[in-house]
This record gives sequence, C-alpha cells and structure tokens, in this order.
Amino acid sequence: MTNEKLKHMFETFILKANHEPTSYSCLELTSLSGAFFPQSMQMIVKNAKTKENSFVEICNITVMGDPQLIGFNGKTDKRQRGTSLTFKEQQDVDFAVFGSSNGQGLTFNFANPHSFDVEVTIILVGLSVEVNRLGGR
Amino acid sequence: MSKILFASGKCKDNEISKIKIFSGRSSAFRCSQMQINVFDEKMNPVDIFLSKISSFAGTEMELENLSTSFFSKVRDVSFRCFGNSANQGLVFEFFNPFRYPVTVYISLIGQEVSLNLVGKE
Repeated sequence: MTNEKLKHMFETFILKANHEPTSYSCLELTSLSGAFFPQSMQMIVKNAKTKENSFVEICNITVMGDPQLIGFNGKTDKRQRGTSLTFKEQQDVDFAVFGSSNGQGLTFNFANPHSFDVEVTIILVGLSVEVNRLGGR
Repeated sequence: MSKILFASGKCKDNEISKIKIFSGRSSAFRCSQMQINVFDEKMNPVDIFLSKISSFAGTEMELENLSTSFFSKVRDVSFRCFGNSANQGLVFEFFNPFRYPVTVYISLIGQEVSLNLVGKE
C-alpha cells in the first residue's frame, strides 16, 4: 500500500575544484528501502572552506538511464548545462520514481567550475511508493 | 508537475549574442517560469543585458536591454510553446557590455506539450 506521507532525503558531498563530469562527479541517490517518488528538490551549495554560498553546474539527471531534464541531447555538453541556483529554493520537479538498488537510483552529473572545493547538499521531498512503480510517475 | 530545461552559452565581449533553446525529443515545451544567471570567467556573478526573446511565432518579449539581474531569481513568464526543430526554438538575444566573455545559464520551467502546439499559447 502506498504511504502518502511526504518523506525527506538528504545527501551531502564534496565536489573537488575544477571538476569536469566524469564517473567521479556522478552521484546516485537511492532510497533506503522500497521506491521513492520525488515531488520537490532543493540544493544548497557552499564553498567547502569558507562556507560562502556558491553553485555547481548540473550536466544531467537520470533515472535508470532515462534523462529527467527536457532538452537533453544525449551528451553532457556545455550547451545543455544548468546551475544548482535553480534549486536554491525548494523547486517542484517531475522526476521518475527511483529505487533502492544500484542502478535504480536518481543519478546526477555535476561539474564544479570553481577553483575551490564545494559542499553540495541535496534535499529531496517526496513519497514512499511501491517498487513496481520504478521508472514511472 | 514541472519539467525543467537547461541551456547555457558564452556571450562574447561587447557584442550581441544569441542563445537558441529547443524542446526535447518528441514534444514541445510551454515555459511558465524562467531564471537567468550570468558569470564571468572566474565564475563571479555579473549582469548583462537581455534585449529580446523571440520564437517561431514572433517576438515573445521586447526587453529594451533589461538587466539580467531581474531574472536572477525564478520569475513567472508566459511564452508561446516552442519546438525541437530548426527555427522552432526560443531565441535569447543578450548584449554583453564587458570587455571579457561571460557564461549565461538559462533555466526554463514548464510543461511538455504536444508538438502541434508550437507557436501557440
């Protein structure tokens, strides 16, 4: 049975200075158990040392290989990038349901254009749903 | 629920640059909110001028060199739907008054709609 109460997911990590997207800047968020249907997202990005507000480039967001951003042309080229500033405040999203196993998660590709390390916190608010809804909405 | 479309590009120093945005794959896009952030080479935030936004259907916004700082936060907008083929995109014209190039990031938030709505409200 679906639990319609909103749940929160948090993840914080450090992205190294001048980090172009490689497998190392790829972050896969998975739910603890069952599946998770994100409704909104917020990103807090700070200079890892000084804690001043900053931003990272978002190159791509996928669920099981399916791009969640419109306009994605199959590669993380610089013309398709956005910034985490879009998610500075809590922003409604239309991402697919993701799961708890490797490869079933919500996968982000980030690039850090700065000459300093940044600390990125992702906050997802959504619903805990049945596993058979993976990849759907 | 909101779909998000990202685009970015460089604007050369002291000249007008165009950035074209197309909707994804098999659908058109109806944009209802927009954010624009501009950064210099050291990734410090700067403001340039947005002169015009146009689409397949004509001019969407005549902005008379509005500072991009107005769109540094997400703002509500109402553009006609744009598509994914040549000439169906949304075209942004920026004027960079600085003596150095800047990087522009555009975020559009809206809905995926049917391709037959391109150019319509």
